[in-house]
Amino acid sequence: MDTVTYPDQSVCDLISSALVAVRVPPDNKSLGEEFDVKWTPTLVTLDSNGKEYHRTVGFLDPKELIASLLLGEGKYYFNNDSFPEALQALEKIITQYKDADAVPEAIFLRGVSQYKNTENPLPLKEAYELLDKEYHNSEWTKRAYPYRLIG
Amino acid sequence: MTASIHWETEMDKAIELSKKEDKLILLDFFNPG
Repeated sequence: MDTVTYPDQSVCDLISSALVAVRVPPDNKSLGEEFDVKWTPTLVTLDSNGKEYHRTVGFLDPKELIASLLLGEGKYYFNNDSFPEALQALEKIITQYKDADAVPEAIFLRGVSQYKNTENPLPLKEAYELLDKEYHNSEWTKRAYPYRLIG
Repeated sequence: MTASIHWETEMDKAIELSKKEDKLILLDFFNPG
């Protein structure tokens, strides 16, 4: 991460503008135990109350890290019922980081956020259809499977 | 010029900044080796 990902200008810009970044060395046993960290690198997104919204384990290249950080932001807003803000973060992943591993989950959460924001269930079906077409083997396609019956 | 991230090392300081700047916190558990 230190050699490839963190020196990337886009990564640096996103972290600097949107996050308070904390490095936790291996000798900080108390935080490691508090967050049940078993392997490094482990990245955890928290709010200011210490509530966890997203975590990844293992190396991520710059594109994957940015998409993952945006997913953490989207999940934070989603879990706090701030759907327009969640949609902004999720849309960015889907449109700007099309090949990233975070995209299927972002499509799923976008559909759910649109539904919760408008009470129109059609975005759930559209999320399933897009997942089935573009990410047929994704776990998120399976999770969205019941939405095919909407409409 | 190489981009660089400002890393906090103290959790209390990070929480204080998170509240003040209305930002989420990114914890990076790393192994320098």
